[in-house]
Amino acid sequence: MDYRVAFVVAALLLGTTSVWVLLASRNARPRDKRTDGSRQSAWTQVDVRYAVVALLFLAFDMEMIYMFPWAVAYRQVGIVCCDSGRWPRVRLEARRLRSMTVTLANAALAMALLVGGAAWAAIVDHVMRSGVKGGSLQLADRVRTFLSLLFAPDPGHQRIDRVLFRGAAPVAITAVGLGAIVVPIGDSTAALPGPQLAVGIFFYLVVLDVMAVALFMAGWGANARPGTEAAFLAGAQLVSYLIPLGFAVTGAVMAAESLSATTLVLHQRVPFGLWQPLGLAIYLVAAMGQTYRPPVDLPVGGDVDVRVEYRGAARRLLDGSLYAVWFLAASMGVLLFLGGWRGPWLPGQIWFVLKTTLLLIMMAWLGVRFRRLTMAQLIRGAWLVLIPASIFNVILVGILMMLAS
Amino acid sequence: MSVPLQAYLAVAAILFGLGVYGVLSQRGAVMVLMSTEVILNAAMLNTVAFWRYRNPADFAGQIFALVILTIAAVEMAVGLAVIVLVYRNRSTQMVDRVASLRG
Amino acid sequence: MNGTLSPPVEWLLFVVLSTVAIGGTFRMLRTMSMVRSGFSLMASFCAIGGLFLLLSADLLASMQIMMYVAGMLVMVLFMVMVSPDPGGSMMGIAPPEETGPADEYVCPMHPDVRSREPGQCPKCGMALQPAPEHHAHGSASHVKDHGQSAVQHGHMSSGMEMDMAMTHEFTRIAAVTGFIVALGLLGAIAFAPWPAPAPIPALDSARTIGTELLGRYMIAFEGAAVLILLGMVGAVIFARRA
Repeated sequence: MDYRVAFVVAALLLGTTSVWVLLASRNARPRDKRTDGSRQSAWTQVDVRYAVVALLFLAFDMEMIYMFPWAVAYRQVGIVCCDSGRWPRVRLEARRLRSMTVTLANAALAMALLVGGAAWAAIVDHVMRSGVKGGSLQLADRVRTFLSLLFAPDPGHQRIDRVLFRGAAPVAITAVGLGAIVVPIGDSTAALPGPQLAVGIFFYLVVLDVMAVALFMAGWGANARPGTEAAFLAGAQLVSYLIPLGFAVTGAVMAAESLSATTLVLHQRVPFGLWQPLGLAIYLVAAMGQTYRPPVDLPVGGDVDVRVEYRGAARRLLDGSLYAVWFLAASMGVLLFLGGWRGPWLPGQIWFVLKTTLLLIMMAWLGVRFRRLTMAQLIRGAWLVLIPASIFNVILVGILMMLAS
Repeated sequence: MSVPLQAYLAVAAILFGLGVYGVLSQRGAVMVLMSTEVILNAAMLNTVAFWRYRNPADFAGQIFALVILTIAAVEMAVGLAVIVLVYRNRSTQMVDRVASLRG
Repeated sequence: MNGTLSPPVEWLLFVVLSTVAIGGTFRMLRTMSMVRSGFSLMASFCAIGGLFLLLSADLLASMQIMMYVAGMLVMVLFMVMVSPDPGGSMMGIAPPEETGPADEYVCPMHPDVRSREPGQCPKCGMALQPAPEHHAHGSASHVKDHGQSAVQHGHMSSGMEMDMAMTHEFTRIAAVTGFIVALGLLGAIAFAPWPAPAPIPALDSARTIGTELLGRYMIAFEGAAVLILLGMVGAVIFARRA
């Protein structure tokens, strides 16, 4: 039994649950069986640079993929593979737990993180937006609306691309749930197979990829102009923010020599964020871009919204998955840069929640503080500022590590 | 490992055949590009399967697959760029309408 | 991290994943909607990533899924850009005239304000009117923005006389060729002797691959670097030349 079983269990649970919720809320309105409407392209405000950037993204994506094995082996082989052995390798092996119960516990933890994290992120978001005062009352209101809308019928009109439209929410939820499998929240969970998984951080980046795809599916499948435009914006955010995110993560991976979430935390006697503040800052901004938080929430903010045709359960599932992926990004930031669950006096789980909440508040504050960017600003900011800065950060971390050894 | 090597190779062979069919039959340049990706993926699956069953201690097989993945990515980027260029000049992306690549 | 799956679980995973891999590719070639074909292929490649995971190549599996999910999304974006009919509706899958005339409402002052229900425009407050011809709603405002898409739109309105087939006349030859190739490979597989699986040493595959890439296989690493650089330069040159 290993992490693969946890993956399968979680995927089955999430997939069937979300499909069931969708089916339970379907109304009996007759639907055209073969709907695949035409949408002429919505490239109205899209300029040539989008195309160039998208192509560059493909190449950079590959480059980033190569960064990870390089970063893991960096200490061992140095920059030009002649500096081996000088840096004392930290040998940290958490116990490995293997049994069916453990695997199921891992899947259950991921579910709990998914649901609880989404709820907590929604609360933080709400409080930050409406101010602390009076927030709780409105919050109760919102919870009630949420629950009442969950099983409301969704008005499917006839021209949706049914497969993509219906599939978007289950894909999003399942992806985020699978990503949550690699998150350890304390000493006791650190030995589970998922957090021990040797490529854990990579799975998280894959999840962000899949989220973008889910949003694109939602917007395109809806077959309405605002949705289609928003689908393109989701693509734009992916090609802009995934690269700096990956490079920012590379800094932490270099220092810990591992892609496993547990090993990353165990290496942080001093949190990496303290000596890689640039990496942490880039990570936060890029993570906001990849989890669609304001002010970089073009595909889900305002009039142009991939969810524009969604009502009822599908809408709630999409909302929930957006909050969950935001929480996942914050908790990954904690694991990568803030020392995970480690901290004095308090139990690990409390530290984990506190730190995650801190990052959530920081990101939500940026959303309150700044106005929504335009697409041109977003692409330019990512490619002219964030990506060069993140590459500089990787070089900086490499130099610092060489100096320290 | 109860699934034998042949099973993986068979899947790769079927994918390869489908990819060949796609490359030969499709008219859209993007579809041809995607069929090429299928062929490359079949090759990757073979490489990884052989790595696992022949000599898992030596990571040469995985590294070879990684190189194939790189080639696939670069091919995708350049191929799409060419398609955009052709489309801008000819307003079509059907390969049989583009006999020469002279812009 | 490997070899610990029980045989039934492993077989089940294998069958499911390879069905998705082959079925996704098949769907990609058969569907009329280019967007759907992109997503089918994405599913197929993710399933191949799953097969890598089954073969204990966990790093490669994540790389595969990461690369192809993003790559296919970009591919779909470009398909929508260059294809006259990305949704496949002109192939007669869903004649748009079937839907009722007034299932969409539009503001007379702001053509981009559209709604499912009658109501008021959020921008100017005027009552929304039934959209005259919702089929063209994507392209109508599109035409005035881009000269090049006006040409495309012209093709669209000329409708069915435009040659829209996804495949050309050699389809049968192509099918036979593909079939023969696959059959030949399958035959070779069936008649060759194959090794039994070797036990796998417990390895951190990311570290091993990194060390090997920077050590014995430096040439592959550098080759990939040059290749990616060439790809970047080529893509930018081609895509920018108008």
